[in-house]
Amino acid sequence: MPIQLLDRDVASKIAAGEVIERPASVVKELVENAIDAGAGQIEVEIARGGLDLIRVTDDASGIPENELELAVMRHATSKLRSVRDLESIGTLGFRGEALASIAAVARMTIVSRVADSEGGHYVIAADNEIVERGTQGAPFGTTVYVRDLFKNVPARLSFLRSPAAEATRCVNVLTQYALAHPDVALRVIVDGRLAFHSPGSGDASHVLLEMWGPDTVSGMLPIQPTTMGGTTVTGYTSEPGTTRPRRTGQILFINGRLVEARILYYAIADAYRDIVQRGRYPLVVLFLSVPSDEVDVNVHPTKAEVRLRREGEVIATIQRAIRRTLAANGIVAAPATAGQVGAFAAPPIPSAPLDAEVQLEAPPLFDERHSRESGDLGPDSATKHGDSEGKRSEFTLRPVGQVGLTYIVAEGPDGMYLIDQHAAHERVVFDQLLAERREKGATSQGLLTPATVQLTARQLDAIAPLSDLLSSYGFEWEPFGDDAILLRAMPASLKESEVSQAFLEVLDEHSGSEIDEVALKGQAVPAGSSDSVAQESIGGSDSIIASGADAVDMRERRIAATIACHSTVRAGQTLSLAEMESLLTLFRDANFPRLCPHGRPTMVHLSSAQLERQFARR
Amino acid sequence: MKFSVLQENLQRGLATVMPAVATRTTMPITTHVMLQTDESRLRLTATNLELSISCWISASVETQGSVAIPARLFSDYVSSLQRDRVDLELDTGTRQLNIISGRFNTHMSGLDADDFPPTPVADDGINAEVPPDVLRAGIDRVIIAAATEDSRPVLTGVHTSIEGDSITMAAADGFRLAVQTTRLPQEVSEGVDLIIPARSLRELNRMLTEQEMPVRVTVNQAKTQVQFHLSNIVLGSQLIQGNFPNYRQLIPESSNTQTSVEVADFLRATKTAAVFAREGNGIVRLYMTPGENEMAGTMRLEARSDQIGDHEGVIDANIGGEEAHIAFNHRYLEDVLGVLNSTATLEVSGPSSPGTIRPATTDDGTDYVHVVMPMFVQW
Repeated sequence: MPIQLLDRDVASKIAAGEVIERPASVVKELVENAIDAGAGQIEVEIARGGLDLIRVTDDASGIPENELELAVMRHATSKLRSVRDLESIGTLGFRGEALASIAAVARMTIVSRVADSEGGHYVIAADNEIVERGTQGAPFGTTVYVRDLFKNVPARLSFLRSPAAEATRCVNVLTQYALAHPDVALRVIVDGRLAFHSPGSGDASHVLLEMWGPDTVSGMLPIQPTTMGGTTVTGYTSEPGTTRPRRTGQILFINGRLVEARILYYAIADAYRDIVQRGRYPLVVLFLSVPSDEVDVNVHPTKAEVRLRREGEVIATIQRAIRRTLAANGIVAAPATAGQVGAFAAPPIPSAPLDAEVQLEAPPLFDERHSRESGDLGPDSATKHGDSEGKRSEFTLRPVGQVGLTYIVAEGPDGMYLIDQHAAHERVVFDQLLAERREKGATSQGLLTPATVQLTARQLDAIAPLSDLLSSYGFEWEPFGDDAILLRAMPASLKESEVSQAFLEVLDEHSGSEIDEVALKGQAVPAGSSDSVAQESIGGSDSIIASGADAVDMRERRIAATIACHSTVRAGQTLSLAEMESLLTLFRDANFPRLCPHGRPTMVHLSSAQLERQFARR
Repeated sequence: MKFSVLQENLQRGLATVMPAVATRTTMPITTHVMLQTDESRLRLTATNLELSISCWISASVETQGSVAIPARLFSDYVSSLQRDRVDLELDTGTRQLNIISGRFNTHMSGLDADDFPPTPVADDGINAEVPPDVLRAGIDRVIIAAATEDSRPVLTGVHTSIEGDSITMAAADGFRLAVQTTRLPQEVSEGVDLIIPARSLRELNRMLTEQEMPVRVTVNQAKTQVQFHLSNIVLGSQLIQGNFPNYRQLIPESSNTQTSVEVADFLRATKTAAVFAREGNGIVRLYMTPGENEMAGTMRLEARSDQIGDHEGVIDANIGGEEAHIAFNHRYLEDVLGVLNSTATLEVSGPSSPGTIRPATTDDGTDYVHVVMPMFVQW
């Protein structure tokens, strides 16, 4: 086949494919247009997953008759004039492709009436051609009907999921816009039924309530607005108990634009490290405001991916905002002073957040020297044993008994608590080990008779690189023949009977785990982020992600977790009430950490209200 | 079976055997106590299979017989009766025990005594006599070092060796060792090495307070069972099989610093420091400073906790050798000082070598040594 220029129709369909992937893309483009046009009310109707009909009606300024046809042309937009405008895009859309792309893959009708016009005008476009135009009665604003979507692109059609699934995607997109624009009243009708509506009250929490319902929203905390440099973070973040198995509940907006940015998801995960179970994702709605010349949204046609000029700063701001919010709600202990190094050492601002104050206090934290001294142990210092004078210190749990020799049943100020005795104890010891080791090196107890530990070649190889870490945790040993060592001392917290086992487990976890290590590194420091952070020396002690020493940190924590595991009461162990009480006291002093070092929950709470409901007392 | 006993005798007998009643068990009958007439006495027996205790009380027996009765219920019931004669009669058909005390008439269901685990007999092997105070002193001083975890079973026992005219008891966990040797009034014909569960010895110790006659210790030929014969009581215990570590080599032969202190002072200072040590992994630091110009030396004890504060206490000590420091877990110090009196000597050779504690003066033929591993800390 000779090379030839694509026929205009084919070319536009290919281009449209980049923007219009599925019905939800149409919805997104049309709603963005409506919002950009200044709509106060938007109604969206979807029939058969959007394949039969997508209707978007707004009450915005409308499109004058003479611009209607132009609107359907590719690269026709009212939002951009010159290349320079691209540098500072304040509107959601700007490429001038939306309507043209839709017109390429569907039959589209636009009806619009501007303020001073007698009536409405309409155009009908199909296959990129205007097939009909005229006038008709219409309310002020614009209505776009999209019918027969992808009818002429069967390949695309075959990739779509069921109408119900596509409709759900549309609704999801719409709810996210509703969140970003709580001042816009949005009604969504799916197959004739009202599927979602946001009141347009200007309060994002009302939208959240509509989206997730009161049960979920009761687990959401308003984020204390946090500003660092040019970045401001507001929004909502969940208590550690309110999570989802997928990231679907993490919604990020940068300057009002819904974005996906892996690096920012990592920042969120990191802020919740050790308080949310592995494999669970907290619900987070973040509104980031970044100077518009510092984001590049022109990366991808759907504009979902953005590039940030000061990624480190954005990450640090997000993490600080979340941590401060969690601290203010007593979920993690508030760092004592800004001067005390360690992660998230934001000044304790219990109530009214004063951005000015944060900025005043912030600079010393970003001092490189300072952050290096911190030892970069991350958010743990925030949950460190005993440094909380927080509101929970008075909160005591009274043990009632034990279930299955595994869970302690306790009564607390608000109902019943079930505590996994092993997980809770493990977490307490884990935190103590980390804190102790950081301060003065973990304590070591000499063994009366050294324990002989037989090692495999693999385990032997693992010793050398770990030797400093192992001794800093209190292991002392010497070689004993070719394939064994003599353990002379062990971490003081460890059970003597489990010393060899713990030692071997530490070695096993780290032998031949280069792949693992790389994986950890890859996860912790996504490409490019560490450089940008280092250059700007932002993040520093605030972000483990940005610390770059994360792999080492993970290793330290894993060793501590293994030691803790072998230092603690087991499931299946009978505890006396006195033993339970002392365990609960330790647990309280550690400020009730939610997760064990392996990411399992430590505590289940059944509130008085839940109990009353269960017993039909109310 | 029909017999009469005095309430207080029955109550005391039950209290004696109760510690051997099984608490958590898959064998319901081990939660029972067996009543068995033995000529003109009543024998009460309880066992959890590891430990068994039998106790004889005087009774006026009309017809012989036996039955197993729920131990907790029976004991609670008997202790609520008034101090009077109690008449008991078993209906062998229904295995109902009819108990009459004054105008109280009670029926209690029992189980067939034939199903009760037989008490092992240990009289075909070694036979030795040990004065009760020798046993008590030994148990008191060594049992503190026995391991409480089951992971190395031999360490949950007390190594007891009777040889010639002396008995040596030793116990160790991973961090400390206690050895007591005492002379016996008479030589035994055949030496023996046993590992007796510390739990059993703890129960034995309780009964020894009322014992005046020498205790006869018997072991079966297979060396699986030991029995301690007291007046009217026999305590039987399984023996732990295995090799006890060769502990002699763990006792340091020499030291660089010898500190002798009043046990009461040392214990009080340790307990005070422990208040702070408990919060910080149990570390108590000891600094021994020899005196100058014939002045007594001092021992300084330090403990600190980041959360609650720190403490420093100084006591007088006679110190031989060089200045020294060492750190111990406060619990280990408290345990050993708690079983000593008058003056004790602490010998150390460095912060990472084991320390030994001994009574400064020893009775004739009695020797006690306690070895404790230090904690390795930053100095």
